[in-house]
Amino acid sequence: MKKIAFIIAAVMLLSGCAYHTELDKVAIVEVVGVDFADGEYTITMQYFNTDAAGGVTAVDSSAPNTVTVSASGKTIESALEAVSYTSGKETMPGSAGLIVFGKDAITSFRDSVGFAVSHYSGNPQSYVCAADKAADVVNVKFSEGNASVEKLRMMMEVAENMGLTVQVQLYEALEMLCCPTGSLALPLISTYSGNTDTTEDGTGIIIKGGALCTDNRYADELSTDDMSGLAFLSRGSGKCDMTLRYRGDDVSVILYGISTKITPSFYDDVLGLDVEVSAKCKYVGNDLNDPYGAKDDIERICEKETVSRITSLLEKTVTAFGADVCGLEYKIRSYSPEIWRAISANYREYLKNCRFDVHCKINTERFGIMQG
Amino acid sequence: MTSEIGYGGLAAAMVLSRIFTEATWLPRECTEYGMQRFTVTITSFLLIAVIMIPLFIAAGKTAGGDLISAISQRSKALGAFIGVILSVYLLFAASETALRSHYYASSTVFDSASSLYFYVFVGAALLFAVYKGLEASSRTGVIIFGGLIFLLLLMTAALLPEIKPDRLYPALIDDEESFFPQVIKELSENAEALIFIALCGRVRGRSRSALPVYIAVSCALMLFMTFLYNTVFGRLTPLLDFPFYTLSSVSDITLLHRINGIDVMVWVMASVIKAAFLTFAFRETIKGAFGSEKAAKPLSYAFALASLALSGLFTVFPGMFEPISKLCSSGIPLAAVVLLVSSAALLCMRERGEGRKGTSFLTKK
Amino acid sequence: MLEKSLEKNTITIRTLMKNSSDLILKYARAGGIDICIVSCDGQTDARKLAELVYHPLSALDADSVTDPDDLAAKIGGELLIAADEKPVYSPAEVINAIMNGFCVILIDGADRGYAVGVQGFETRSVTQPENHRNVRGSREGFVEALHTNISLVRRRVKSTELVIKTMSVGKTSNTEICVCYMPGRTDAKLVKAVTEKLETLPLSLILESGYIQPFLERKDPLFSEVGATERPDVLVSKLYEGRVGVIVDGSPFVLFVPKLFSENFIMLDDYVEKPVFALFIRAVRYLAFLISILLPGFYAALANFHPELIPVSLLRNLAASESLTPYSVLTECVILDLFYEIMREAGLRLPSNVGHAISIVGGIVIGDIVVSAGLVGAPMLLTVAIASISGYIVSDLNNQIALMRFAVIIMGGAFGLFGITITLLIFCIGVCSVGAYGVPFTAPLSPFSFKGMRDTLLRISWHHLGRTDPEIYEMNGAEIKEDDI
Repeated sequence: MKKIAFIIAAVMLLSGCAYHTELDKVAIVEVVGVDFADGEYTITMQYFNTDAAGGVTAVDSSAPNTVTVSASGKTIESALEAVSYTSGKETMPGSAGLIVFGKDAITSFRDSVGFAVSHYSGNPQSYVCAADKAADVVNVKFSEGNASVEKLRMMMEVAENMGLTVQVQLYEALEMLCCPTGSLALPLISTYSGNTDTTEDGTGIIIKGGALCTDNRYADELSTDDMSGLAFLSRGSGKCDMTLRYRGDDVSVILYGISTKITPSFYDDVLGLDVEVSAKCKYVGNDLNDPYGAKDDIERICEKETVSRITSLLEKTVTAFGADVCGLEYKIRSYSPEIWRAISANYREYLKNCRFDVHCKINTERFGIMQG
Repeated sequence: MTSEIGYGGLAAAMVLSRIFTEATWLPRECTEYGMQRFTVTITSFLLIAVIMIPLFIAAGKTAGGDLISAISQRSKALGAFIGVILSVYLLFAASETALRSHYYASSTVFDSASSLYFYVFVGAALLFAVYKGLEASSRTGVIIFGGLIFLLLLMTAALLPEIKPDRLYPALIDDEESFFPQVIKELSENAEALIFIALCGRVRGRSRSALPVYIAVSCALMLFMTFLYNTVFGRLTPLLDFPFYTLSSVSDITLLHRINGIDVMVWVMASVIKAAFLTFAFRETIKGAFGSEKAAKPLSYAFALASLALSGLFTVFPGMFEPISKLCSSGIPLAAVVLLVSSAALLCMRERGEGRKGTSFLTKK
Repeated sequence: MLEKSLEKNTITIRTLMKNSSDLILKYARAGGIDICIVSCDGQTDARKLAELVYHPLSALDADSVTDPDDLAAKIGGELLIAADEKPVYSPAEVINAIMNGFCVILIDGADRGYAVGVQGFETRSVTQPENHRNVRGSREGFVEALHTNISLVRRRVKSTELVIKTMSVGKTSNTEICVCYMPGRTDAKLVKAVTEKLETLPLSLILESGYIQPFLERKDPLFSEVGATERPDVLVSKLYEGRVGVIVDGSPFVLFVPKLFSENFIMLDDYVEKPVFALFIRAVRYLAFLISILLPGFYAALANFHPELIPVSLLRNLAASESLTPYSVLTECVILDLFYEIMREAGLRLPSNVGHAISIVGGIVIGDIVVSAGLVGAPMLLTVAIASISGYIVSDLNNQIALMRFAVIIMGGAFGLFGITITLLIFCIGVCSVGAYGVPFTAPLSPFSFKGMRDTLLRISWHHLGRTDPEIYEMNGAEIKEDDI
């Protein structure tokens, strides 16, 4: 019996075992770009070059640390397969930290995003953003750092910390697409020429604003102020940097401890949203002669600016498209289930006709260390 | 003298087995993971508690003896009838366990493990567990249960920034249609009652304590898992094949980018322990219903192999599995078996007039 | 039986001893009667022999002794002042006595002799044990001599609570072994079970306590429910918890039963440090155990099958390193682990002066050349090295860890996490099936016992630990049944 068991075990162990790929034959994908043109998807992937400097050993320190490959196909899956055999390695999209969708690729967006999570090795934690053309962004090579994706990710993280945009992870994007209006706002990045400081070929990347997707497809472009408004609405607390104009001077303030309360109401078959934002404010810099005296004025300007950003966002999304990009559905369902029952069947239309009232209350609690 | 386990060990194995069913999924099960899942879970556990009350009383009255042999001693025909029904149900439950485990593992991180390897290795582990006996499997179950709790804590810590309580809203606003079908489905998932029926005679001391522990802990863990699903994935939850697996996929613990591999490890281990307990339940059923001590051991190995073979058969011919699965998920077979066994045991006791004394009627003449 | 004729008795003893060269027969006269002092070369102390035996016997006047029986009575009475003295009635007893360091006085005309304890063989002095060293506490370790070991134990329990029973086992070696226990704390069934097993030992030669260990445990290929310690303080603490100790003459390793898996992670220092430190260091030991078994196999599994689990920044380093090596991850891992085991085995047996050379060569070859030659990746080397070092933290399980690690490497490298899952499950079931004398090996972790947890992962303060009953069966809610024995 023991002999038989041994023979079976030996045959199994020696017969090639389970299928696997050695680590050096795997393309560790850093960033994926998805474009759509002429009925074909084009996937551009930037993967780590194991032969370049990296880890503890460097075969060729002069070689670029990332390699970019691109291939097209009728479906995203076929494009991915094409990328695999073009690169000569087994691609691992699960390691991608960032997925960039070209505006044109945001057609039937849920299907496009689905590829990244449908496979077990897909990475639901990847960040998602939009670009005018994804391939252009992926092809930019920063002169610093190991891989471009880290630079890109850091850029967006800093922007998010400053309250200028809202980063979206893959599973969050899918979650937002599940709402009745199928809407979300992705950060929109774009390339520009003339940046020789941080990139190798003089092409730079900027965060341009946001891309509004609704009903699973691209709808409109949002400004950075709109995205800042989204940050106010979608994040309960956080901070936001603002530069305001006050009596001919530029005044920099930081809003922190931001809290937002959205109260729905339903009257006369019209949905109403009462948005109340409260935040604390502190000055940075010493560019005011009398910051203490200007306190009330600065607060009012801040409030006005905040209300303007939020209103602009709501107008561009809710009023224009009936798009719910900041989880209004949850608020309505949680706090007023009876309203939700009344409007759920025709949610988008109710949103389009929605009346919103945005209030803001800002209190200055701290001033800069140096007095003017 | 047969070896015994503590009621805690039995309860841990039953909870592990129940949570395994919750975390894994089979095609066409149509489980709704939305907000109504909270109410579905609570209601289904209340119902199973009600169904188990006679079982609880019967187990309490038969200190030291197991229900099936008690019935069998009173009426051989009834004992044999219950024995056959239980054995068939246990075989289906064991093969369904292997099927779930295989489907789950091969759909997730173990896609590289072929079906042959899967069944050979899982089968080897199952046979080893059966060979080592109930005590060893029970202790292993406790350790894996500890592993599950550790995994849950790890995931909760990793997911804390992702938890958005805003995503909770009152249940049954717009999903009330699926409430009762879901409750019935959940009710039918408690095949652990069969394990209890068959193994309560092997529990040292108060065997019936395993039932309330099982119901309370399983319910609490399932509610907690539902809380995590809904606060992290919100509206996405109903669309996910394996919400718990996906939760582990977004759990970044710095040392590991994600912990879905560990998650699947826990469930594969849990499936083997569940199948082993079902096999032991079968062994005890054979012993109790037919009094065949000698045949029980080789039959239990045959049972383990048959359950794996049946699972393989169901994989190849899913059409065979569906009608049986449909029948079982109606909740009727489970409720019928639990009520039949407990009422038969209580009836036997009343006829002998020994129930109230709280002593074993097996040992009395 | 001994006869009255001295000549016949000496011939019988010579015959039984097959004229062995170490048999010493010293003929003399005491009180005018012929006597023979029988002893075994090297087993007696010449000074003791002279002072305790020769001197009193030579001082005996012929007038004071009337007949051989009178002489025998005097020797057995007030004449000799040795602490250990007993009459012997057969040649077999004579031989047994001289083998144990006694000298036997045979008297012409008397059918009995007297064995006098004049033991004086060379023994190793009491030194610090090689294994289980501690920072604070006693530096005494068991030695080879049984009586020294008994004295080390008795010095720590100066009360009637400790009982020591000696017996001889092994037909050829006639090895003295000693069973010690505390009757008020130890289950009588446990003592009976152990004693019965020792009495029916089928061995004829016992050179080490490891020889009798398999007869006290159940058959399990990896783990044993019989513990071994070199420290008298550890043994006494085990006896205090209701266990039975077995001291074997000639071995510095004393056995005790039953042993728990969690005891491999408990060191004496834990009890003299603050409880919070004990908690921390025990957690580190458990972690080290897991690292030692799992790390290389886990690395091979992740690198081959599940790279998506590895953080990307680390994955880049690993991939860059692997791209330089010709072998697969599994092969590298197996080679390194085998190489490490070879070095360990070589280092254990070599004299210490050569051992240094081996460690230098091994360190340079493995640590530097293998990586720089591109045969093995540096991360893999690091992984195996960390696993190896971690294994030494739980020194009692070193051999088991080596085997388990190898199994996990093979299964992890060949089948990924699925292979590791099945391997771990089989190990886990195997460990959980161990248990003898009524206590599961994995107690109090599984079956879980709150009472037993007070000194498992955490060690509660002595204020509480001293107040509660430490008895092993009480703590784990276990009891001895016929099956268990």
